[in-house]
Amino acid sequence: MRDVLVVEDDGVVLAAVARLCRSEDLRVDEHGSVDGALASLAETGYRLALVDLMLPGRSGIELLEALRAEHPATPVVMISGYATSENALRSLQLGAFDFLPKPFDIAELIGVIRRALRFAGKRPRQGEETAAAAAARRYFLGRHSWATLDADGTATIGAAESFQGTLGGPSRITVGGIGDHVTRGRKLAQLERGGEVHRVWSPLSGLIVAVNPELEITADLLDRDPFGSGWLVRIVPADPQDELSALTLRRAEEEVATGGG
Amino acid sequence: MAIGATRPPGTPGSRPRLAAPAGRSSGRISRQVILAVVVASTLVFGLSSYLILKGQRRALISQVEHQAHLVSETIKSSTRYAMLLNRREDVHQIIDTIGRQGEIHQVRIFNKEGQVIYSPEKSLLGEFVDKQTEACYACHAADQPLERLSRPQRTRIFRNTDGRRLGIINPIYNEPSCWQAACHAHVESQSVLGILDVTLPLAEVDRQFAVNGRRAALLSGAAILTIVVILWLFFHQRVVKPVARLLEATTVVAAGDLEHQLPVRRNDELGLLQHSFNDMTRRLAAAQSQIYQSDKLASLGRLAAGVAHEINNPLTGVLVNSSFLHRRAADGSEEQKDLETIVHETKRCREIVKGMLDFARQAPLKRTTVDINGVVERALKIVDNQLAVKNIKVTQALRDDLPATYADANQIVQVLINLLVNAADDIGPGAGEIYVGTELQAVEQGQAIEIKVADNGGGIAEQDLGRIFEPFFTTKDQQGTGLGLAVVWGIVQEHGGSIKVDSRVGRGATFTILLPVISTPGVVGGGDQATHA
Repeated sequence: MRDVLVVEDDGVVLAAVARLCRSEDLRVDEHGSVDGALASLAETGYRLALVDLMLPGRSGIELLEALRAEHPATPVVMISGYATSENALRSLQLGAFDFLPKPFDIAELIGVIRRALRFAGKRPRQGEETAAAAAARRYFLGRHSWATLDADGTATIGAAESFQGTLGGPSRITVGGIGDHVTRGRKLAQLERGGEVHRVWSPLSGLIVAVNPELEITADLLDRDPFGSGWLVRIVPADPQDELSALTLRRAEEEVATGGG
Repeated sequence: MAIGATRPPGTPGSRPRLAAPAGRSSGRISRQVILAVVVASTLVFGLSSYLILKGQRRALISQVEHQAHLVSETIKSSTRYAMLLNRREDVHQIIDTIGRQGEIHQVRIFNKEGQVIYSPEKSLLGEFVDKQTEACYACHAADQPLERLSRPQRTRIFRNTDGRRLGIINPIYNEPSCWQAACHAHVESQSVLGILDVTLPLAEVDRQFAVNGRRAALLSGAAILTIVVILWLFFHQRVVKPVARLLEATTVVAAGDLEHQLPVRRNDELGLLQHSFNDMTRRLAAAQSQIYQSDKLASLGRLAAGVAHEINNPLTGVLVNSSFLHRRAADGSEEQKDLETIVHETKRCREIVKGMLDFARQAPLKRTTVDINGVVERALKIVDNQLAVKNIKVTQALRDDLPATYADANQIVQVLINLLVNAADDIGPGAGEIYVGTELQAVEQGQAIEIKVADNGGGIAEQDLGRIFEPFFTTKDQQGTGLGLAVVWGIVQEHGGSIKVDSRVGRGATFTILLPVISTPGVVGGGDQATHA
């Protein structure tokens, strides 16, 4: 088992990512194409994979699918210079651990690497969800974020298991204000903690009508209870019917089963 | 679509090429009209002069005919007595006397065989006239007995070497007194004893006729000339000149000057034409600016998408490496400060690229049946706090019987929020007022909902008015992205609507949006329907 697989066709980016990983004391295998990466994967597994979406020849999506099939325990972070919401949605729905749009800085890169490694290392815990939260029909954007449709037509949005217990402690949360427009596949919230930056990509589009006031008071609420009291915002969804159908509806027991990977 | 293709060719070479035939054709029309008038009036004047002259001639000839008849009768009655007495010398004497009068050309009496028996010209005596010619055919050709002949039948007009003549024959019928006369020159069975033929010259008549003909031709010519001159002047002033101005205007517009307007001072057809020309030009200008704008937005979108991908890799290299170095640099050192600047500025680049991408990928419309007043109220509710904090008073005037329309409520909310936030920014730190109103307007394609957002803020400078909807145009320095109004513009366009702004510096700004009222989803033939299927 090696530490990190980096697949990136741009030499400068590849070198920068590899350098940063090494500074984190991680052993890195660098590849410029999917074929090279698959050759390495045939020999060994990795604790983490960072894969560029657009690669010459076969695309990063193919590698993501191969990794999800052959190495389901390896979190895959998709990197893209063509950082559209469609690419983010597609990657996360296909099981990517996170989506990292270029250009990223060191805090964003370190954040996602550390969180992914924590996620890969943690053991699935039973009964993390509260009973109330489990009762709701919950729609998931991969393992990244979730949404529930409330009785009054609004939707509640929160972070999913890739943030649960992986933030390493209390963090400062920045969320948009009431009246702000959020777009699915775009940044909904940003979490900062000790040189790490994490971003939550929204599963739905709409207008923010409420922000969880508890998050500011209890800094580690999201880390502890993202499905319950650690919810992020409530929005008036722009197109719930259409957008919810693109998400994955999961029941409580499934969440736990897929949680640890 | 390329911007160039949407504009009419404005090459200098195209103007004379267009102008030359235009000038000729307007002249050609006036010439054609004048030619038609000349032909028509020539026909009318010609025909009427011909008919009048013909009548005159007939009257003159009939006068001469009458005169000839009189002369003929005079001779006949003057010679009667001499004839009865068979005094041939006396008959000769009388005929000589009368026949020598200037107005009489010739007097002859010939017997029924055609032999001249009396004439002032002695050389003619005893000669035979050709019965096939002269007036003889009136009776002989008809093969009828010489009975009573009407006057026109007895009259003939013929041409001699020295001009036209009018001849009249007067048969001398047999009477009882003739055959009972002592001379017994005639027997009772003869019906006609001889023919008196009087010929008068028509020279005077012909001269008079020629004079009248010349006068008529002269008058007709003068009348035609007068008509042509008046018509030409009228035509030139009222038709050719305005048409030439119109043509010139079309070439000016064709060359790309859509600001060009014609002065309209008349309400005839040409006035209407000028008016509709101006109207057309205005619409063309509006349409062109819309096409130009959406074209610009589309190319900007393509450019942004291309640039984003190309620039994001090098930016990543710069950002990761500089932030890595920044983290390792000694706290408070010069290097750390420099690296912080690099990181900060690179992040700014990232935001710019992100803004371009956001703008380029505006979400497709998700139309539903929407109550615009509800949408306006929703938008106001969202920015309510923000406006209250700034001490801005909002006045609403929403028309309560607005029809529902088929639109993307969220995007219209976005439009209103952008306009309201913009208005609030324009008002600045002091207290201000924002007016939001809805109205129903009749437009060409039916009805449109008008949404007005007005503020009493600083207003927009005139030179900026044309650019405020352009992406990345901002007057807010570093604060604005310059995309707010471009997004507004894009959304309104997507809805098939229009937006305009009226503003003066210091007087605030009024944004007026017109959204077409679409009652059924079927009317919208766009790709945005697919998501509802």
